[in-house]
Amino acid sequence: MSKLLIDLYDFDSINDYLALNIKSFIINLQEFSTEKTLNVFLEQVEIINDLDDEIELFINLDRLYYNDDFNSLSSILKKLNKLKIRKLIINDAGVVELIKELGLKFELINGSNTLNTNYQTIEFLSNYYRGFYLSNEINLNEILKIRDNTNAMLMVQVFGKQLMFSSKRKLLTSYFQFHHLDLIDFNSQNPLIIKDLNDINNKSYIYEDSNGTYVTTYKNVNALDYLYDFIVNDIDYLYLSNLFIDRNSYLRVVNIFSSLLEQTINLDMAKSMFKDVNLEVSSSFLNDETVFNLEDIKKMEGI
Amino acid sequence: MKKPELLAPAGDLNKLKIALLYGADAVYIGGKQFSLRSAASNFSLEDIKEGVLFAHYYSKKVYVVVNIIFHNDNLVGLKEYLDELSEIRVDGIICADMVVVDTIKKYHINLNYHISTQQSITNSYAIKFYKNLGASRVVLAREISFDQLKELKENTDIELEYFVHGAMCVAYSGRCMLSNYYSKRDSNRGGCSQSCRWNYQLFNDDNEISNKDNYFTMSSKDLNLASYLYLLIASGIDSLKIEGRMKSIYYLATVVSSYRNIIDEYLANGIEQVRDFNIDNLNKAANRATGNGFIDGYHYEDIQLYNNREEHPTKEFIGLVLDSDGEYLKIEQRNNFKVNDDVELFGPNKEFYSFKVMEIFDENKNSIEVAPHPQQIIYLKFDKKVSPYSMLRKVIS
Ligand code: SF4
Repeated sequence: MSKLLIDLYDFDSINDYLALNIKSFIINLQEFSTEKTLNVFLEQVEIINDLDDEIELFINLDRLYYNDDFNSLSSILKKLNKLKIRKLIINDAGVVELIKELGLKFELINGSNTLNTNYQTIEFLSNYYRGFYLSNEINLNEILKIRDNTNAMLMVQVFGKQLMFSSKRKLLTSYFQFHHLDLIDFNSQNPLIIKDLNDINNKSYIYEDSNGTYVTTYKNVNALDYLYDFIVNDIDYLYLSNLFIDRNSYLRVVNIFSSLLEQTINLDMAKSMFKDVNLEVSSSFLNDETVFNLEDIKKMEGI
Repeated sequence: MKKPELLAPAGDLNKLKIALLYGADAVYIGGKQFSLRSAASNFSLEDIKEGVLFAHYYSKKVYVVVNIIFHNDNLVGLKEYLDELSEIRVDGIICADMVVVDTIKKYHINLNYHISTQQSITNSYAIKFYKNLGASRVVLAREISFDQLKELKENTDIELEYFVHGAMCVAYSGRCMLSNYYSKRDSNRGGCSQSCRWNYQLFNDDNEISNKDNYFTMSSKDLNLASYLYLLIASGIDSLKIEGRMKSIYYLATVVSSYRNIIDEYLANGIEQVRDFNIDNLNKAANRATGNGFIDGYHYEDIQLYNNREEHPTKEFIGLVLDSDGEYLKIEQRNNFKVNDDVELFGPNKEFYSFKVMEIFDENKNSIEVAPHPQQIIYLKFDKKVSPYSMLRKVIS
C-alpha cells in the first residue's frame, strides 16, 4: 500500500497532516542534511516523534561528509538510535560503514536523486540499504520495471521542486564577491532564480547553505496522472516536496493527493482541484527520455 | 619515496600511444559502450586489445572506464563486455555504478575495479565501504583538500587516485542533472551539454541582479596542480590523474611530458620548485584559465571562471613529426605556419629544439612559402634524428 511522504513547515503544521491521516514525514537535521524548508535540531526530532505513536519519521542525513564530520555524526546516530528512530535517508556510503562499526541498526534509505536508475544496482545495494529514492530523471516505465525486479522499499517524488544540482562551491557568494555586489540572502528560505540566456524555459531556483550550492527545478513535478500506476504497482512512498511552496498551497496539494489515494475523489476531480491551486507544474521525466549517444544527440539537436 | 602513477586520458589509439610515449605510466580509455564522454572517439574492442598490447610492451597500464550510471535498458551486454575486457587483460576498469561491481562479483570476472569520482568519495568510511566491496582503488572526489587527502591516505591500504589537471565538474560529480533538465542530454550516461558553463540571468524575485556585463555562470577554472606535485608525492598518493579524453594529441603530449618532468625531477633531485619551462609548457597547452581547485582549502571565486575572455584556444600546435632521417623532418600539418616562423620541436624522449623555419617543402620536395592545409604532408630540413610523434609548435610572442 503506497503512502504519502511529506515535508513540514514547522511543528504546528504536523497537525494539518495528521488530520489527513498522513503520518510519514521527512525531517531535515540541521548541519547533517541539505537545508530545505524546515531544518530542525535533534531535540525537536524528539518532540515530533512523541506526538503520535504511528508517526514514521525519515531523518534526512543526505549530505556528503568529510572525515571531520564523523565524530558529530557518530554522536547524532547514537542519539537517534536512543530515540528509536529507525529510518535514515543517506547519500554517503561512509554512513553505512559507520553505522556498521557502531553496531547500530537503522533502515537506511539510499537518497541519491541521480544514481538510483536501474533494478540490478538496487538489488545489489539492497544488501546495505532497505530503501531507495528513485532518481528523478527516470521515466514511468523505468520506475515500474525497477519495481517488478526488486523487493526493496521504493520512493518516488510525485510533487514539488526537484533537485537538479549540488555543489560544494559557494557559487552565489563567489559571484557576488567577484562582481563586488552587495550580498543578499540566497538561502533555502530566499532562493534566487537563474534563467538561461538562450532559452527562457530553462529557469531554476538556486540557493546556498553552509555546505554548498543547490539548483532545483522552477516548476513542480506533478505526478497526478501517474499516481494510479504507482499505487497499483506498490511504490512504497510517494514524496511531495514543499520546497519554495507556500504552506497553504502545499496543504491543498497534499489534500488532493491524499484524497485520490484514499479514493474519495477521482482523477478528474483531483485535476480540476489542482487547477485552483495555481502552481506551475510539469511531468518532468515521467513521460520523457534523455539521450546520451552522440548520434542521438545530433539527431535531437538537428545537427 | 614512492613513485606515483601518472595517469593520462586517451580518446583513441593514437592518443594512447602519445600519452604513454610522452611519459604516462597508465592511460584510461573508454570503449564504445558504457563510458561517459560520448563525444570522444572511444575504442573498439580491437583497439583496446591493441592499446593493451602496446602499453604492456612498455610495462605500462590501461584502465577502461565503464562509468555510466546505468538505466534498465543499458544493462544488456554488460557481462559480455566485462568478460571481453577481462580476456583482453586490461589492467582494471573504472566504474561508478555498483551494477558493474555486482556483475563482476556475480560472474567471478577477473577484473580489478576502481571506483570512479562519480561516487564523490570524500571520507575514510566511504573508502572502507568500497574496499569491502572489493575495489582495488578509489578515485577521490575533486573537492578533497591536501590535508584531507593526507588523512585519507594514512587511513587506508587501498590505492587512492587524485585529479591534478584538467577540466572539472562544478557540481559534485554524478550529482548534476542540469544537462538532463535543460537539454534532455543525460550527463550521467555521457551526454552532458555542459550547461554549467552557460550564461544565465540572475534574479531576486522579479529583479534582475545580473546585467550584460556580469551574467551568472557556474563555470569552473580548469585544474592545474603542477606546483603541488611534490606535496602530493610526499603524501604517498598512488595515482595522479590528468583529465581530458577529448583533448588533442598536442595537449596530451605537452601536459603529460610536463608532469613527467616535474615528478622525475622531484624524485631524483628533491626539486620542489617547478621549473619555468614546465609551467610555460602547461600554460601553452591550456585553453582556459586554471586554478588550484580545492587542494589548499576552498577559495570561493578564485576557482570560478567568470570571464569567457579567459578562454584562449591554442593554435600553437603546427605539426606532428611522422619521420626523420637526419636530413629532413616529415611532418603532418596541424595548423597554418610559414617560412620565418619561430618554432619549437619537442619529443617523447625529452628532445627539445628551437629554431626558425627557413624553408618548407611539399610532398614532392618542392619549396613552398606556407603550409596552409590541415594534414598536409610537408618536409623541413633538420639535421638531427628525432623520435616519431615529436611535435612542432609555433612560438607566439
Ligand atoms: S553541466 Fe557541468 S557540472 Fe553538470 S555534469 Fe555537466 S560539466 Fe559537470
